[in-house]
Amino acid sequence: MSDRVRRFGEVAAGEELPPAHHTPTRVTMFLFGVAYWTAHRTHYDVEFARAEGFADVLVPAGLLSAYGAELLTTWAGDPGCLRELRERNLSPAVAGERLTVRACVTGLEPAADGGVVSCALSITAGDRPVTEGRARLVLPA
Amino acid sequence: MTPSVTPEARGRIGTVVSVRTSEPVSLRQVREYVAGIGGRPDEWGDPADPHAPVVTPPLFFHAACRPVVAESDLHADGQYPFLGVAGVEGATMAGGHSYELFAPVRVGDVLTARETLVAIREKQGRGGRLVLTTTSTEYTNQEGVPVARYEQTIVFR
Repeated sequence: MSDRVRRFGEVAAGEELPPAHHTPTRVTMFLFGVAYWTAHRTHYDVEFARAEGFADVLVPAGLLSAYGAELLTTWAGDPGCLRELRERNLSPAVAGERLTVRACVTGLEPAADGGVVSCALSITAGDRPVTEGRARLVLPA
Repeated sequence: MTPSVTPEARGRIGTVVSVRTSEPVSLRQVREYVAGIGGRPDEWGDPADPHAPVVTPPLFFHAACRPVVAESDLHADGQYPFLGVAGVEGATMAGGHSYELFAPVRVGDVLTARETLVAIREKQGRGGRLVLTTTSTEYTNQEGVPVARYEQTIVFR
């Protein structure tokens, strides 16, 4: 988490958040599966995943969402600032791929006690888009 | 596998298709979730006070309400038998989803998830016919306070 809470007045439209990188492994799939009960075999059975046409076990969508939420809340310095996260899955991500999470400020709505920041969000594996989405955060004045 | 939809499934559009209540949220669950998303579980909770209040990570609520299912009740591919909607069958893929967060979830909370079937759509994909189900789930805590809403589209192929 950031050292301090970001203020609404410090943010500008078009600002790009520092990207985050993750390389989830098969061990990651186990750890996430413990918490999330991702019982589908595509997430831990590599032979099954390959028979389904994937290069390795699939990264669960809920883990990709968590990576996005972490990028946003770390930048804001407040884990409670997230109000909305919407994502569309564009292609599967598999274990061992280096994923890059990016976000950019697309809109600012001031309010008496701060304001709402809208962001575009994406996850890519190399040049391949994995998810695209948008989010809304509440920041203090 | 070719996806299929029964008339009964279409008849449930607009209705509540499941209600689940979580176990009380535990610090152990939170730490498992934090480890699963790449964080440090030892940074959550107060080592000096096991009963110290803990606000959970923003999307944790969704993990807290995932049901624990016996292996004998899962499909051969490991999928939950009640994923999406009864009467819609096929191999599944995540299509897209949204989270709306209204209030914090704390260790000790008991969450209730009410899932409504919003739509069943059919389309032709590159590899054949697809069925897309969209559900919307409202999460409330033990005091009836809405804490989150989760909408999900699942692709059956």
